[in-house]
Amino acid sequence: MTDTATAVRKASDYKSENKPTWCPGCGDFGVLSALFKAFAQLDLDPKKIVIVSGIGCSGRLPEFAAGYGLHGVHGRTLPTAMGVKLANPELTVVAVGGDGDGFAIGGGHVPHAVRRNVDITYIVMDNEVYGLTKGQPSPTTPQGMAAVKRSPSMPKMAPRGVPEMPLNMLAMVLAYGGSFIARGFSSLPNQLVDILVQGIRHPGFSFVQALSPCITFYDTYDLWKGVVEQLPADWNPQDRVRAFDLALNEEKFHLGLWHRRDRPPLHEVLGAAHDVPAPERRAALERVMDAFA
Amino acid sequence: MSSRLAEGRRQTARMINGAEAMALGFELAGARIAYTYPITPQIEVMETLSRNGEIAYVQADSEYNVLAGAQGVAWTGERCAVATASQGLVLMSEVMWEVAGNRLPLVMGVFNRGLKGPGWNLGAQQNDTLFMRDTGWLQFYCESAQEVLDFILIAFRVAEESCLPAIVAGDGFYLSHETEEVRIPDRAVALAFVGERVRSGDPMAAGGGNYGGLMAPPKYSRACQRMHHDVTRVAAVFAAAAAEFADRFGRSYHLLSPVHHHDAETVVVAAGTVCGTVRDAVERRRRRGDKVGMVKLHAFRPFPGDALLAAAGGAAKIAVLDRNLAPGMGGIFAAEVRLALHRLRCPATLYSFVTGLGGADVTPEMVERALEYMGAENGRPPETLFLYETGVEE
Repeated sequence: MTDTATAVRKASDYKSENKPTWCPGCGDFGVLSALFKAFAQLDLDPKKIVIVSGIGCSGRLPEFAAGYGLHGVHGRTLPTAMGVKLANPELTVVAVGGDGDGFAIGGGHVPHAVRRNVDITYIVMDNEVYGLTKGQPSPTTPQGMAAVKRSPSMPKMAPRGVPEMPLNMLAMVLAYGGSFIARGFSSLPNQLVDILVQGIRHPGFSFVQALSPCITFYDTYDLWKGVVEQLPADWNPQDRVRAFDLALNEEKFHLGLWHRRDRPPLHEVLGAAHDVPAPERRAALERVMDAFA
Repeated sequence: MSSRLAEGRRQTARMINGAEAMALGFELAGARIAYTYPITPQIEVMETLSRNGEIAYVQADSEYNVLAGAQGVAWTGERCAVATASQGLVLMSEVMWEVAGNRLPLVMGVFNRGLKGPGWNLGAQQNDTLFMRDTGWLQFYCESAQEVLDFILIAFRVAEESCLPAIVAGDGFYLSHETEEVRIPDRAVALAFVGERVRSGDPMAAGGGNYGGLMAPPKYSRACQRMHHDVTRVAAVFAAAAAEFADRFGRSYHLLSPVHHHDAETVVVAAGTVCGTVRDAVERRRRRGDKVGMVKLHAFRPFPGDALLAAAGGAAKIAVLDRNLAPGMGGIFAAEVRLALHRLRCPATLYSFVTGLGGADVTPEMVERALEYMGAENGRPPETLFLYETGVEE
């Protein structure tokens, strides 16, 4: 997918004319910047990039990028991205969204996109809150949240504390059979760039949890800077059982490539349909139509 | 003053917005469980309810599950608070049909907001609720925060008496976020008006039974027919409930409210917050001697076609202002009015103005432009006209 015929591109080549509308200090700026740098490292042709999003602050991201952007409806990010990739596997397809879009209203799509191994990179910008609607608990908000001082808005919706336990997205994606699973942090951009480069290169569904604090409604910057930690030096991304063990028991946010394994992406499994040249597909269709004439 | 009215007059005046009024309506109606999912501009309703320690507040994982969950609450006979807007409501679509078909008397508050068509939109537009036209849900439209509160109470009463769910709708932001003085009924009196939830007819009070299974065509057909007739009969149920409401609280409601209609040669029909604008324009014109009137529609289902024609059928020209659009057909309220005119063989000429889409402001001057357009035209008008600040367009 690298376009070697042109000069190496710069990160700024992937910016659109639209200035980001996020709150100053939002973690999403770091994710956007890392994504542009990853595109530049891969020297991708902007015209061959499609960024698909759903709803939420993070859903605004495609507007700020050059190339093609599809800002869809609540929670339908993954099916739309899958349709684009299946129809044209030559494209680099990136799906972006938040923890609410991906794991609440769109949660039903995650296991199926993962198990199908659709060749897209899915960046979940996790801020543990619904930011766009002004600070309600999300599926990843810690249980009991309400008493914490850094969350001035949270008592609006959970005055007695968030009653439910948060879901564990890394354990879920591991269980679904994810072929590329990584976690980065918007405040550690170089690592996030590296993760995104690997994820886009990976032939299959690349799941990237990008910790991306909401500075306005649930400011976790200081907390998260204290609890992020790199995966152990002897970490083997092929070891799924160890990854599971850590996902279920970690008390800190471990950053890096959690798990990777080779599985054919969906468009290759379904390849027969794509491999047939268009004229032959038309001829085959005409034969079918003739049968009903 | 009747003793009931004296009792009901113990109301507290507070400055609140439409979202708070809606939440108060659910609280006063005795809802014990609130189901929601965050969406603009509804979320302030649920933020208000979440502070009520007597209400079990559930934030579901999508609107689809909000309504499915609320349906579960309704199956048990409890009252449930549900509110949404725009995409949230259309995401509920599948369950909307099921709730009405199961004859569950849920009441849902909706702050109308434009749907994602050409792009995202946050402003007021009624297509979200009107999209639910054929589901069997009753639909009431409000102009003020007071009406929002009052109609939630009336809707519970009507829904439970007719075994049909009801939407109480108001324009997003114009109504949800603007503060006005609202008279809040005493809790005990409000609950006395809504009434004890009579559970004898509830499915889960029947001592066992299966519901919602496969239904053979003859039975299915009859069930649909019965729903149709029951929706049309709501007019009488509403009238009785509204009469008692007026008796208790001193505020009188009907499925529609006409103004200056008796001698009007031109009548403007509208629903929602734009009614205030229309009223202003009509009064201006009246002061100049024009015989102009208006009809404010409170109900879309049941549609008060007969009452509309009784109020406005003597006018030579009827304008309908729609803050909604069915592409290819035009304004949706106008289509209903057109049908009523045809059914009742009313000779009035109908002008359908689509205006204020996506929350765009509708000013009294714009309504006057529409009236001027109607005054200048004597032929058959185009089926749909678009009303902007710059004038009337086809």
